[in-house]
Amino acid sequence: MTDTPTTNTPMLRSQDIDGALLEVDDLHVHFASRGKLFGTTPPPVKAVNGVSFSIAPEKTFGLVGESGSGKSTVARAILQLVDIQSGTIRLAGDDVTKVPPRDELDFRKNVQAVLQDPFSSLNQVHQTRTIVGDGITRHYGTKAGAARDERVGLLLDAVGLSCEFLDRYPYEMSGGQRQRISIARALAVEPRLIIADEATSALDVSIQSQVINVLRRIQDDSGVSFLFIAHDLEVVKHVSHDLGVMYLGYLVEKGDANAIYDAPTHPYTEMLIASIPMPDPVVQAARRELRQTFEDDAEPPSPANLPPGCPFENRCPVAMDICREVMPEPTPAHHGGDVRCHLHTSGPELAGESVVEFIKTKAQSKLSGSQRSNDKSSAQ
Amino acid sequence: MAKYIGSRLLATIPLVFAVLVVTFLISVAMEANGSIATQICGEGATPECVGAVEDELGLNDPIVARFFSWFGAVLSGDLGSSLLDQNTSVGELIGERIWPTISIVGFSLLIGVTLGMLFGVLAALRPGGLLDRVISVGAAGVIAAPGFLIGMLLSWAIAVELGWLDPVGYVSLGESVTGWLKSITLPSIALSLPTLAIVQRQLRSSMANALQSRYVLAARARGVSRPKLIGRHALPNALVPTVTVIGFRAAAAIGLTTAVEIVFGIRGMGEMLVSAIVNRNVTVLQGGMIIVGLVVASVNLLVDISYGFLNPKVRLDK
Amino acid sequence: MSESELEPTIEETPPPKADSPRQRFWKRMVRNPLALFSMVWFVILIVSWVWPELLATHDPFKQDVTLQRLFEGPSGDHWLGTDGLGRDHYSRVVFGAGFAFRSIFIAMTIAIGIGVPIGLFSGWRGGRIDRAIMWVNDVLFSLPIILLAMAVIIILTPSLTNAMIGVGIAMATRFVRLTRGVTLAEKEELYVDAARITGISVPRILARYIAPNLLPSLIVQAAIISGAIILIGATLSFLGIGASLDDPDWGVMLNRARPDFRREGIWQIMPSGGALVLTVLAFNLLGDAIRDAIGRDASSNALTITKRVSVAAASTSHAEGDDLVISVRDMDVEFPSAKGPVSEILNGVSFEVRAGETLGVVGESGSGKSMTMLSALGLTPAPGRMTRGSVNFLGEDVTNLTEKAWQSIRGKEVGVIFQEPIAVLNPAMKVGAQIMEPLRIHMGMSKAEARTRAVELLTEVRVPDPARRLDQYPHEFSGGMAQRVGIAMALACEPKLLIADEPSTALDVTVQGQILDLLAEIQTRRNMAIILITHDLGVIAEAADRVLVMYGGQVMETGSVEDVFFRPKHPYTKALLDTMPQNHSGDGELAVIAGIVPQPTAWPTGCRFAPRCVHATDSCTSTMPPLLTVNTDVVRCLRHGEEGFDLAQPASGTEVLS
Repeated sequence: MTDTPTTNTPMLRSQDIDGALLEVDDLHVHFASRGKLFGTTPPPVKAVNGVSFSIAPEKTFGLVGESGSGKSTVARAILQLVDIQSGTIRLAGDDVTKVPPRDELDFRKNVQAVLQDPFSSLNQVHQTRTIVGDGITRHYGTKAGAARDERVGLLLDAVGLSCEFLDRYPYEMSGGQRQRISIARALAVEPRLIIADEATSALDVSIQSQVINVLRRIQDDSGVSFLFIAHDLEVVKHVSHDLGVMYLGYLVEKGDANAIYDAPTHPYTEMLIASIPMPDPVVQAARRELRQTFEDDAEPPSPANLPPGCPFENRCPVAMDICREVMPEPTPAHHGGDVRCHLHTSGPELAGESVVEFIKTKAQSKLSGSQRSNDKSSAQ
Repeated sequence: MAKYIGSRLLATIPLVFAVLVVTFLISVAMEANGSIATQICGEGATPECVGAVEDELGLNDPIVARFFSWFGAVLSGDLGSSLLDQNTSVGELIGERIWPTISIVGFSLLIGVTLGMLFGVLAALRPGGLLDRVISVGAAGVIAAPGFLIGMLLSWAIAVELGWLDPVGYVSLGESVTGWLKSITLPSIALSLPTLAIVQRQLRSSMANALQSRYVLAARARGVSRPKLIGRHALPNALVPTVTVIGFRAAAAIGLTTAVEIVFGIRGMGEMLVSAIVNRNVTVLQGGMIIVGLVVASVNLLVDISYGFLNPKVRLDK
Repeated sequence: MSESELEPTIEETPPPKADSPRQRFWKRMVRNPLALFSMVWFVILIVSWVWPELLATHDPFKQDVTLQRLFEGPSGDHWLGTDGLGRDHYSRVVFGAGFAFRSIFIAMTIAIGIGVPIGLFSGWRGGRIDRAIMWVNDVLFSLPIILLAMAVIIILTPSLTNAMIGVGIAMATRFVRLTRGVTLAEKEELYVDAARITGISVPRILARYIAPNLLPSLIVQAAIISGAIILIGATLSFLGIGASLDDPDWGVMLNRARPDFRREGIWQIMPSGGALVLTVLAFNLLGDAIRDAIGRDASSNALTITKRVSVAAASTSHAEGDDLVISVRDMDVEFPSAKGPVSEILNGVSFEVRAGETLGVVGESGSGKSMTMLSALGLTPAPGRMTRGSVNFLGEDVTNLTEKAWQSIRGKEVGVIFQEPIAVLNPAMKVGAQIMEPLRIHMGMSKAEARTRAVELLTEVRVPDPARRLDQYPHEFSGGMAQRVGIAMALACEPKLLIADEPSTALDVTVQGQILDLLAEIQTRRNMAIILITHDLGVIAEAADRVLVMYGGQVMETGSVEDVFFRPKHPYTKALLDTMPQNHSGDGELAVIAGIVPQPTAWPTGCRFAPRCVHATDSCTSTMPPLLTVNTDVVRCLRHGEEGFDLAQPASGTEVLS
C-alpha cells in the first residue's frame, strides 16, 4: 500500500464536463442462485434489467422503488461491489464499467457512498477520527495525527457535529449522528458523486429532515452530484432533480422529478404516489379512494422467474393482453424522460402523457359493473 | 421428507469415502520410515524379508493402485489381518471388541442427552435463578473433568467403598442381562456426565434465545399458557442447535470411551486402539478408524434427518 | 417494543465520554468473582511453569529408595502425599503445569496458525471454494479428536509433542469454523462495503476492520479450547500414548495411580486430578467471563415475569360509558438498571378507547408508544414494572391481574399485531397451527372446527388459497402475507380491542395501504376498538379517529384527528407535522426538530420537550408542566392558553376538498 497521493494522474481528464457526470447504459445484473456443492444450479435472479439513466454535474438523481426492485443493486453495481452482466457505466465520459485494479483508487476518489443502516455501516471498533480519517490517509497520504484530526474536525463541522465526536465510537451516537459520520466519511475524499442508498430510511422523520438538509447544503457548497436511492417517493421527490422509478429490476419511468410526481405516465408510479399517506386527514381520505383503485391481492412475481411480459401486469388495474406477452420498450414521456408501458403505444395510445385520468376513468367504469376481463379486452 | 432423507443419504457417501482416504493415508505416511514391512519381519529384519513382504503386500505399487485394491478389499468387508498375528483378522477382532464399546457409548448418550435436555430446560425457565445457578456450577465442574477421572471416582466410591457394583470387567448381554447392565452402568455414567453438561449448556442458551424471540412474546400476547410457550414454541426451535451439539458429542464420546474402558478394565475398541498404537499395528488402527468413521457418518445422517424434522426450512429447501 | 425504541439518542454535542470498551471490559472482569478466581489460578500456574523450583518443595523425579514412604497421604513434609514410588505429589503437580502449558502452546499455535487464515480466506472468498473448504473441514470436525491424535501418534511415534500436533490439527477445524463464520457475517456488514468504497485494500480490510471484530470471539474460543486441549492431552497421557511415563505430567500421574487407587485409596488421584480439573475449569470460566464481559446481558427473557410490586393508585378516575373498552390512568413504568438510578420509562400515561374507535398513538422512536401498550396488557418486559396507575379493561380493574388471569384475556378479548410480521411467527410451526392456537385455547374448538375457522379467517384477511396456506411454514410467506396472518391470528377470537403496533412499517408502501384498508374494513364489521401505534402521521391521518401524541414517556396531548392535524395544542405535535416532507412546499430546507429524544436515565428537568422546543421559555426548562384537561382532551404544555400562543395549521386540505 502506498501513501503517495495518486491524484496527479486523474482519471477524469476534463475538469469541466460538458455532458453527464455519470451515464449508466443498459445495465443488467444477474445473481447466480446459490447452488449446492454437488448439484444443479437454479436459474439466476435477474436483479437489474436494462437500466439506463444519467446524472448531470451538481444534480441529484433519485431512484425509487419497493423492496426487491433492484435499486440498491444499481448502486452496488456502480460502486463496483457486484459484477454486472452487461451494460456500460461511464463517469465523466470515461468507461468505468470494470475499473482495473490500478485505477481503482482514482475511481474511489470520485465516487463515494452513504449506506443504509446507521448501525452496520460504521465499524464498532473504530473511533470517528479513524472512520472518517482512513479515507484521507488512503487518498491524500495524511497520516493519523493532529493534521488529519483537524481535517476530520472540519468535515464534522460540515455535517453539523462538534469536534468532540472525534473520539467517540459508533455505539455512543444516535442513528442520525451515525449517518452524518457516514456523510463526513464520504466527503473526506472530495468525491464528485455520492451515492446515498436508503441513507435516511432508518431514521425518524424529524431526524431524516436534518440529514437531508445536510446533504443539500453539501451539494450547494461543493457541487457534488447525488444518486439518492430510497423507497419513500415523497422524500426522493423532495431531494431530486430527476427521478427514476424501478419495479422488479426494470426502470419503468424516468424524467423530471416534479413533473413525474404531478403527472405520472406509468401506472406503477401512480400506484406508488397514491400509496403515500398524507399527514392531513381530509386530503388522505381522498387519496385513499384513489389508492383503492389499485387494490388487489396479487403478489409481484419472483425476480428469479420473471414473466415474459410486463412484471407489473398482474397488479395493474389497466393491463391489456399485450402486457402479458411483451415487455414494453422505453418511449418518450411528457416529463422529458421515458416510460416503459404499452398504454403509450397501444390501447389508449397515451403517447407519453399522464396516466392518471385514464386510470380514474377505467376505475369508474369498473365500479359501474363491467368485469375486469371485459375491461382488458375493450382496452385493446 | 423421503426425498430429503434420500438426498442426505447420498451426501453421506463422499463423507465415508473421505474417511477411507484419510485412513489409507495413515499407512502411507507410516511407510515413510518403512515401518510396516520391517514390523512384520520382526526385530532384526533382513532386507530380503522386508523386500519379500513389500512385494507380497504390493507396497511398491503406485499409491493410487494400492488405494483401490485396499478400497476394494474394504468394500468387500476385508479389513486385513493384524500385523502382530497374521492369523487374526481385523474384522473378527473388531466384531469381538465392538459390543462393549457400543453398549457404553449408547447408554451414556441415552443418559446424557435425556438428563441434559431436562436440566437445560429447567435452567432456562428462570435465567439467573437458584436452580439455574446450581445447575450451571455443576455443569461447569463436570465439563472440566475428563470422563476417565469421573470413572475413577465412581469406581472407587460406588464399587470399592459402597460395594454396590463390580469395579472392573464386562458381562456380555448374551451371558446375563442384569450382569450386562451392572457392568456398563458405571462406565456409562462416567462417560455421560460431560455429555449431560454440554447438552445442558447448549440447550439452556438456545432456549434463552428462543424465549427472547418476538414469536414467544407474540404467542404470550395470544394468551398461550406458560407450559405451551416453553414446550411448543421455544423448545422445537431451541433443539436445532442442540441436535448439532449432540451429534458432535456422540462422535467425541466414541473417542473418549477409550480411557473409560481402560479404567473399568473393559476390553472394547478403546483398549484395542491403544494397544494398536503402542504396537504400531496399523491395520488394526485403520480397521478401528473405518468403523468409527462409519459411526460418525451415521450420526451425521441422523443429525441431518432430525434437522429436517425440526426445521421446516431445511426440509423444504431442495 | 422495537429495539430502536430503547436506542439511546443524543444530538449535536455528544454526551460525556463513556468508558472505552477496554475499560468496561476490565471493570466487568474484575467484578466477576469467577473470573477473578481463574485469573488468580493462572498466575499460580504461570509461576509454576516459568519457575517451578520456586514453588516445588522436592525434586519431582526423586524416588524414595528406602521404600518407606509410598502412597502417603498429606503430611508436613509431603503436602499432598507421595505416589507409588515415593515421589512428592505436590512438587510433581507444580512441575505438571509446564506440561499443560507446553501442550496448549504447541496445539494452539498449530490450530490458530492453520485455522484462522483458512477461515478468513474461506469466509472472504465465499462461493464454491468456500463450500469445498467447509465440506472438508466439517468431515475432519466431526471425527473424534482423540482418534485424529491417535492417527498422528501412530505415524510419528508416541510423545506428548506428537499428540499435540494431532490435537492442534483437529482443533484447527474449530477455528476455521469460527473465523469463517465471523468473516462471512462481517463481510455482509455495510462497514466493509464502506471500506471498499473508500478504497481500502482487501488485506487491510481483513486486518484492520474484520480482525478486531473477530478477536473477542477468538479469545473466548481459545480459552475454552485451551481447556479442551489439556483434557485431551491428559487423556492421551493417561492412555500411555502421550507424555513419557516418568514425566510429572498430570495425565501420567493419573496413569501411574490407576492400578493402585482402588487399593491404596482415592487420595492417589486427587492432587493431579484436582489440578487438572481446576485448570480446565479456570479456562472455561475465563472464557465464559470474557464472553459475558463483552456481550450483552441476557438475564431476562419474554417469559420472565417481574416480581409483583404494589402499584400505587391512580390519582384520577376512569372515564365512564358502556362503550368504554380500555381506560388507563396515570401509568408509571420503571426500569431498574444494574448501575445508576431507576429509569422511569413511562410517566403518568392516561388514555381511553371506546368501541368502534381507532386511537392513533404517535411519537418518535423512544417516546414510549410500544411500552405503553405492552404495559397496559401486563406484558412489560422484565426487569421493567408498572409502579403506579390503574388499567380498566371492559369494565374490570385489571391492574393487578395475575399472569394466569391475563392468559384468558390476551388473545380472546384483546388481539395484538406486531411490527415484524415474519419474526412474530414461530418458524418451526405451521402457520395453520399458529392461527388455530387461540381458537383452541379460548374458544375450546376441536382441531377440525379450528381448522375450518382458520380457513374462514384467512379468507377474511384475503390470503389467497387459504386451505393450502395453512399447511405452510412462515418462511414461505412474504411480509405482506405474513402480516395478514398476524391480523387473522389477532382477530381469531373476535376481540373487543385490537392493538396494532406499527403494523405496516416493515412493509412496502403499496402493501401498507392494503393492510390499513383491511383493518378498517374489519373494524366496521365488528365494531372493534383499535389502538394504532405508528410514527407515521400519514397513517394516523388516514386511520385514526382520535390521536395520542407521546414524547419522552409522557402524553403530550390528545385530541380528535382533525384537532391534532389542524389545531395542534402542543408544540411537539406542531413540530412533528412540520417535519413531514409532504407538508413542505418550495425548495428550501426541510423543517427539523433540533436535537433528539433524551434518554430515560437523563430526562431534562421541566418539560421533557423544552430543550428541542422553539417556543420554550425559562419556566419550561424548570417546571414540569401538568397534564391540563381541555374539554375532553388533555395537553401537557405550560404555554397552552397563553394569549397569542396559537399553533393552528393552515387547513390546506379542507379548502382543496370543499
